Amino acid sequence: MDLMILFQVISLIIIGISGFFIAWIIMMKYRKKYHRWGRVLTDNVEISEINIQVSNELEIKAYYYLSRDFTYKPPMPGVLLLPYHVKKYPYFEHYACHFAFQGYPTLYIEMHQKGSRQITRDEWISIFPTLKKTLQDQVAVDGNRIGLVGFGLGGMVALQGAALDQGNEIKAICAGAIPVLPEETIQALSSSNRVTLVHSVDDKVCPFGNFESNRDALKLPVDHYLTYHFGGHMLIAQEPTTAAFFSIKLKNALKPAYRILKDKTREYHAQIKEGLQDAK
Amino acid sequence: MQNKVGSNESSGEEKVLGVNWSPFLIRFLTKVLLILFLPHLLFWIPYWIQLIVGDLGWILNNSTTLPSVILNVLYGIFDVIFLLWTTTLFDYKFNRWPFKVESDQITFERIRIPLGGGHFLEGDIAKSPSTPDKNAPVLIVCHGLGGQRSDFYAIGIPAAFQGFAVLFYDSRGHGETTYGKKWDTAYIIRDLSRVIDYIETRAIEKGDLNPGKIVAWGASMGGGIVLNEGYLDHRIDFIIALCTWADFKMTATRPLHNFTEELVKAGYEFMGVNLNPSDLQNRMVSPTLYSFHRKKGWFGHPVWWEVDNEYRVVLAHCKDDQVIQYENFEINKKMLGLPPRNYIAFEKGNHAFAGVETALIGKMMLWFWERGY
Repeated sequence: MDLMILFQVISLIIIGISGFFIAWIIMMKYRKKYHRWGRVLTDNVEISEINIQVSNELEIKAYYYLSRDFTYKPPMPGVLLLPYHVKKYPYFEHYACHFAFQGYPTLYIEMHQKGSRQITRDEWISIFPTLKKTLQDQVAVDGNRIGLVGFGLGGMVALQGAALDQGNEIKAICAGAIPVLPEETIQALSSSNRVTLVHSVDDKVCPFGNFESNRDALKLPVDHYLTYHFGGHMLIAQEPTTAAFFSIKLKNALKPAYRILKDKTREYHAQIKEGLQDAK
Repeated sequence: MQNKVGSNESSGEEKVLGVNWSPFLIRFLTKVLLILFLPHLLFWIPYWIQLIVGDLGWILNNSTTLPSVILNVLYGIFDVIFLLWTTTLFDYKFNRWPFKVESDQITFERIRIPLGGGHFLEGDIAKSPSTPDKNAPVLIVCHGLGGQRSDFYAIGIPAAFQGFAVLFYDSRGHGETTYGKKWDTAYIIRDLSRVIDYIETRAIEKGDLNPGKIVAWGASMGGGIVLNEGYLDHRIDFIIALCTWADFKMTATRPLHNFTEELVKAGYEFMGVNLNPSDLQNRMVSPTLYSFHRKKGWFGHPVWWEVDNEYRVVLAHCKDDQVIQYENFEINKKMLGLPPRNYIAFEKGNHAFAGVETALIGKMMLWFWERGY
């Protein structure tokens, strides 16, 4: 019996298992940084797919989010979400759910385009009115109160689209990690108090100078922008803060009607106290 | 066994670490040690057999020991990889933030919350430009067992932009608080009242905080803190409890299903936490047995009370939670009689709400707004 065969088999098994664990470690480290998001699985939100026919050759996919906690009677203000184009649906679903949970019917536009047909920024801007109308046409949406949220290319489309928009339904535009805006966009939006920007100092795709230029040109007040020390272009680890910052701005601009709860026990005891004082 | 590992310069307290050598922990460690070291021994068996019965071909480069040595080295490398995998797995599942939330627009003020007897809880208050200078509502953030206050900066700081002064603190035995022990769960829970005392005192002295508008937020053990002490203490306006227990003993003694669950339990027992409490101990830390439908009486003890739970409590949990199983959420929800708008459950996200944090914060902000914040 040649035990060296056993030696070879055991060695290969150890090397194989070690390789498997190394691959697993690399996968976890990669996913933690670059594949942080995905589906948000919950019963509290209803998602439907909408195909937006822009022209004979071009169809845009969009996903419509409604919270099951709201009746949408009367309709609520809508949010148009235009995320980064580098990741495909449902990578940014967490943002869509964030706004949907707050009662905003949210239309998530799939900016990521597969295959050779890539939509340019100018094309996106020309498509923008169709996207906005698609949201406004939804039964649950109050078409007169629209908020825009965009990141990267999506942020640029939101700002440039809003600048060209003739109506006054767009009440707030929130954009993260965007490059320098064109002069005509600046002129249209400057001092409008509708724009909110977020940027990270270590953004290597759109360097921080882009943000400073936009902030100064748009004359943004201090509570209309937020900057982070870390996070890069994708605002890694800053996603919840960014979404919350945007949603505060959206709430101030869109003025959604929320039910206001009162602590019934406290009210009851306050009434008793009042009654006792009156009796005295 | 308890080991003294350091001292608190400010209070002179010695920080103590301990290990709860339960039968489970001994079994788990035995299993791990067998995985790590038994094969090293087994690789010498062919060599020993060969010594007894003669040449069996266990030879390389004219050396009969070399094959066993090579296998030992290979398996030693595997041991290192396995340990690295274990720590990475833990980090991947329960620590989602590769960067801190740092911004020039967020200010942190270091605070020390007195517990009495010259002991303090270390903490800080985060504010944003939206936080008012006077009478700011306060959000208290309670971290989990074995954690520290910075664990939830990413979750708590968004509230600063909502206008809150966000108070993070290290529970006794945790983070920078050197007083107390990690396994002082009942005391850790009661300490929340000292935090509220601190807010009230500071409101009188400085006027920057509003003692009439305090919200308590907690995850895991932090959820246990707010569902027990926070629920009872009516100086707190309402509470947000994430991935927390209903019955501590039921959670801690449940059958475990996989390696991660075993690793988590072993980790807690390494910290010294008693995961097989007596009924009385369990009653002191389980909200279903201690606090629900009660408030603090004259002597700080729980007394039955009519509580508006729809206003007072909101809950969140993930169905695949491997630390505190989902059943706890169902029990809490049912015992409190909560309507659907007061809770949210995610199919996936585990104990850290991994991948759903942004969505959760969206819901959390709605809870603030619906309560007039």
